Amino acid sequence: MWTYDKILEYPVKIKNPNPAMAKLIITQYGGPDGELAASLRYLSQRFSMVTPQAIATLNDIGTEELAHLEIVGSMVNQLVKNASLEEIKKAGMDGYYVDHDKGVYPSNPTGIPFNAACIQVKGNPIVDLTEDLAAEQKARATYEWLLNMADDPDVIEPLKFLREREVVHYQRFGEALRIVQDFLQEPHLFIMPKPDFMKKKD
Amino acid sequence: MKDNTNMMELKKQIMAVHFMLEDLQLYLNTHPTDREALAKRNSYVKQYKMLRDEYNKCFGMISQDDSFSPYPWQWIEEPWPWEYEANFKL
Amino acid sequence: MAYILKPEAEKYDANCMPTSKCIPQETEIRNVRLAAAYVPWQKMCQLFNPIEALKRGTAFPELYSPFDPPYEPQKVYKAIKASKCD
Repeated sequence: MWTYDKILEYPVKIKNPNPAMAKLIITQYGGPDGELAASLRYLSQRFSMVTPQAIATLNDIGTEELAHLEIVGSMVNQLVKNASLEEIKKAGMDGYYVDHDKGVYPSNPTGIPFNAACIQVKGNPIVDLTEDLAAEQKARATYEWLLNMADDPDVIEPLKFLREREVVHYQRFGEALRIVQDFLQEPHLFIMPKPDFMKKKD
Repeated sequence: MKDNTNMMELKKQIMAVHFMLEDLQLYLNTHPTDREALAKRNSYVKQYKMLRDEYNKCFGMISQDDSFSPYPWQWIEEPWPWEYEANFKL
Repeated sequence: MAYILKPEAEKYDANCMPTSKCIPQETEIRNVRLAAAYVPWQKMCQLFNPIEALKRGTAFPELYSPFDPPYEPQKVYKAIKASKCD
């Protein structure tokens, strides 16, 4: 179960409204490689994971991603809160505005709402951890592209923090994969056991 | 306002110590037998508890289940953590 | 390890860590199998102090990855390729 602490994981204090940036940053809120996708993925995969270390890793990183979701939402909120309608129109956010006003809606920058099809819970521990490694790299790359587009230090600092967290999470999932691989001793490439239906019945 | 700077400074300490806990706890999940890391983590827990209680005494509630509230119910007090006024420059 | 004892001095940074015998990671991975991925184990040596850690995004100096935008990997690759073909 979850408790909520009334404090962000990293402070977000954005003085200058910038709807154009908000439109891009929303991809880390409701986009395919965003924090919502990450937390849902990890918190769902933990039910079928093996080894206490890997389960704890999924549990805790999933929880931390929810905190990141909050940071990204705060950034979007602060970037549009005091923006004028002209600024919103100029940034191309007028379509978003008529559906959501200045609210924070989980979608990607082109308006496609969040979709669980972007995540997978295969149930196989090695598959799931490999997917998690990929997810962390995707998130890190997305933050790098966002940092390429940002020029306000108030926006750059939280994005850099979030990017570094993805690097650390990759390391943790890599270690969890080592543990699970050793535990399961997979893959068996050299011995393929004959399935029962192929065995000669005598 | 001097009171506000003290509150922000305490918030900064709480955020920083909580972050140490977060990172160390993730490390311990995959390194459960690292004694040094565990000792460091436990000492940060002591620090965190102290800072949190201090904040609760002087300024407000950080968590719900283990903080006391004066009258009226303090949890709903603004600003909420995503608002500009609740944050500071690191 | 002066910076561990006096965190408020903030005299260290990620680029000039004090020399110590503690290597913060596995440097050799043995007994590996095919078709399996291996990420080296990290080992905790030193930690940043809390405020520094929060600024950088990690408590571990070995995991700190500074990023200076803009970063365009395709451009970098093309430049390296171009410089090699002459």
